[in-house]
Amino acid sequence: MNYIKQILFELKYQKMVTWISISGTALAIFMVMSVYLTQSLYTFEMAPASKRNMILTGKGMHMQSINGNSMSASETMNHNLALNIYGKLDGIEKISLVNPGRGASDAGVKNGPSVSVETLGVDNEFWKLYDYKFISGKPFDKGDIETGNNFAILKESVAKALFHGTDVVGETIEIDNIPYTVRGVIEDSFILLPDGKVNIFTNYKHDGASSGEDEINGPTKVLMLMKPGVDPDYIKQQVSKKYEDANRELLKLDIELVYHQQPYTSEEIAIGGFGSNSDPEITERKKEFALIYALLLLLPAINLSNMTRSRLIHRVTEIGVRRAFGAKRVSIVSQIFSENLLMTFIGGCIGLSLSFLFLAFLSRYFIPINVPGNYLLEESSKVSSVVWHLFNFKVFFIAIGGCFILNVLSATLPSWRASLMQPATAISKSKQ
Amino acid sequence: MKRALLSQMAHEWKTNIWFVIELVIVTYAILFLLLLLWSTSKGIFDPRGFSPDNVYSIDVRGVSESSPYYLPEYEENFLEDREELIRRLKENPNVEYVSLHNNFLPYQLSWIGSGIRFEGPDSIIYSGNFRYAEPDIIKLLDIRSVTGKSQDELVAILERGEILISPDADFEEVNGPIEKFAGKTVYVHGQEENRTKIGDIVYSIKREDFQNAPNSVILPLQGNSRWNNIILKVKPGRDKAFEEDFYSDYDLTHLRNVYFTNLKSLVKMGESLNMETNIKIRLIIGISTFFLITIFLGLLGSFWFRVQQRVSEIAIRKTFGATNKELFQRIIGEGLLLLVGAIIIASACIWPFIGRISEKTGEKWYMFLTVEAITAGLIAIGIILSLWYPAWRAMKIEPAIAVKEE
Repeated sequence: MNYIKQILFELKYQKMVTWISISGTALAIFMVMSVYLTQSLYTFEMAPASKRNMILTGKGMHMQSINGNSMSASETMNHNLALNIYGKLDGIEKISLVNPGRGASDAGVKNGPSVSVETLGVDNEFWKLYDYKFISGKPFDKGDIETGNNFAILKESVAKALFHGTDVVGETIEIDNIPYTVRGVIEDSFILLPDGKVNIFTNYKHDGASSGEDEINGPTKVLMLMKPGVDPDYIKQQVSKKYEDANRELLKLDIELVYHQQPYTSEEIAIGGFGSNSDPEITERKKEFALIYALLLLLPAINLSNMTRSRLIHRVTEIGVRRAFGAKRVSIVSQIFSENLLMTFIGGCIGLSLSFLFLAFLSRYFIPINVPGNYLLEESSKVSSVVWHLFNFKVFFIAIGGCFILNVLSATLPSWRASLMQPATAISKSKQ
Repeated sequence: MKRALLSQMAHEWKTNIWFVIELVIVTYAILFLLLLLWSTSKGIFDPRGFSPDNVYSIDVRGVSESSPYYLPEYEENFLEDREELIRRLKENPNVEYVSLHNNFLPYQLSWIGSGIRFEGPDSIIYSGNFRYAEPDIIKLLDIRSVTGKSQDELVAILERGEILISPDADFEEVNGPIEKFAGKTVYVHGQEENRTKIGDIVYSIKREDFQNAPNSVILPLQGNSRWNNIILKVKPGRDKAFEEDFYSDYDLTHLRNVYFTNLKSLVKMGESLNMETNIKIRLIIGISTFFLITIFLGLLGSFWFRVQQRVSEIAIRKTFGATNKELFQRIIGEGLLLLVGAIIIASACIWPFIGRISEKTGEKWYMFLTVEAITAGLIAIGIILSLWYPAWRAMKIEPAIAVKEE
């Protein structure tokens, strides 16, 4: 107890330095945690993507000629090729085939309002990978996919814009002049979650040519839910072999597929910076972030180290007297460490709180989260509505870890030097 | 005085050396960030070549054969129905200009690269991004002549079937000023049957606000074009009214198998395309501010200590006639001297490699010098701000009281 009292006294005694040290630590932890939390927005799990990090995505392929001409193209797969490659993999619990379509479309009610929307064609399995909350209606079933009819599941914001309500199951909407029967209405989801920018899901019918398919190419993207404990690399190894098998079939067309680490993890998709004809460079990006974190901690550490050193100059006598009365070096070092740790902990808590405030209210200026012109997504792009989903023990421990690293970097040298001081020297120095 | 300052700094070399190390790291960090800021944002200072205000893009699409609304008997009427819909658009009271185009939309990254060959024995070729549109595009996008021609004259040039090109530094380095090529006969795509004239030189159209503008070749879209992209400009203040018409007036956007869709504001498209660069700029400024605040706090704390330690010394100086200004300058000078030391070390480490860095980044050596000077200036401001309070405290020390306490 006395120990803590002494630490608190020291912190109060040198208010200015305590204030500066805490501010510096808060700023450093704020920066580190802001970078970390902002990155987490692309990978964190919440409904409807509660299993986001267990879902792998197979999309795109790099195709090149093997008959000597220089043809090389990035393409998307047709339904059959996608099934051949991703259809029967060990370690996969569920698989869904989706059709991203052609981007923005107009959706409206006959002789009523219309809005610009993003659509995604999905099958019945899609709804087992994600846990969308249905406000009304139900997910597509197998019959909806096999039938010749068109069905749609609307996000809440679209239903309200077109019908001024959400109880619209059985109503008809038109997407690019094709009528769709509404099967259900789901809650809007945060824009950075998978398919967060999609406004309407339609039933993907895999009907060959009408989906824009030829012998190899088509619009299909594959989503796979891994079984618990399965390593994504294990799936990638299998897919690599499937590419080799597919290439034997494609010999007759004088083309081959080049494997580029498909299927992608949610982290690889979040980091981005690669296309169908290049490998995800996750290791490089991790190194870049490690460098950023190191730099963000190193400079404040030098500052804090200087502060600690200066503070100790004022306490030379005290250290000398304590050493003369038998205090061990370890106890001197541990006290200085504890003082520093308390300060870094207080600073860390302030920094962590500030980083959450930043995330909630200012991060939209630092990440490409807005979709200019798509007012239907305005509510979905509010980070403040999801910020508490990012507050977990992992985040807290990372912040504490940051404080500890800062403490070790800033206090080790001054405390060790203080502990080495001979009692007589210390007392005589203080009298100079 | 200066000598005393240097020897006093030498006494405190242990703390000072950490400061210099910290200042060197911060100098490199801010130098790098400012260079990145310059290379990221310098394109914004070039003319944009067009005005996006009140401009919209629209896609023309055909009703799918699988749609119940598809009318097979009008399969052959696509072009005339499209023309009728365009006429309706032009008659809408909110609309000012409408133009069909191919690859003319400014805020998109498509590129139709081709060349024009000048008539004559030298086979001079000018290459650029081919942009096709109806002549009204000049007024619609507010395209300006480099040579001072009016927009009516530019429209007349396109109506005559002539083309417009933009300045190109590389081309002009070899062939002389671009203006002298106005009026020359050229072959589009180098083909004899595509013989026309360069009508005038206009500012190039950027694809992104932060990029340098690539060369543009503006060609008139003539006849019943098969291209299905429309740009239109609404009258000032009528954007909301037009959007309402577009989404509520079925006859304005639909005729038999043809319909308009995907209405996009050019301003919003620009915001979307520039978003990544804007975010990068904000990040660079944010991180630079972090480094400057870090330096600010470090110096503030350490000099606070120094002033406390030097109370008796300051008091004696004051007793011997040192003015407040001298004391203030001494403390600020100490901080600035540390910065000079850091800048010398940072420069000595980086300037031997400046040729190689310049080659890699494409920036001239004087740009590095300018950025280094700005870096030093910013850090100096940080130092002065951080040392102001300790220096002010030093000035407030009463000599008699301070010496008595000692």
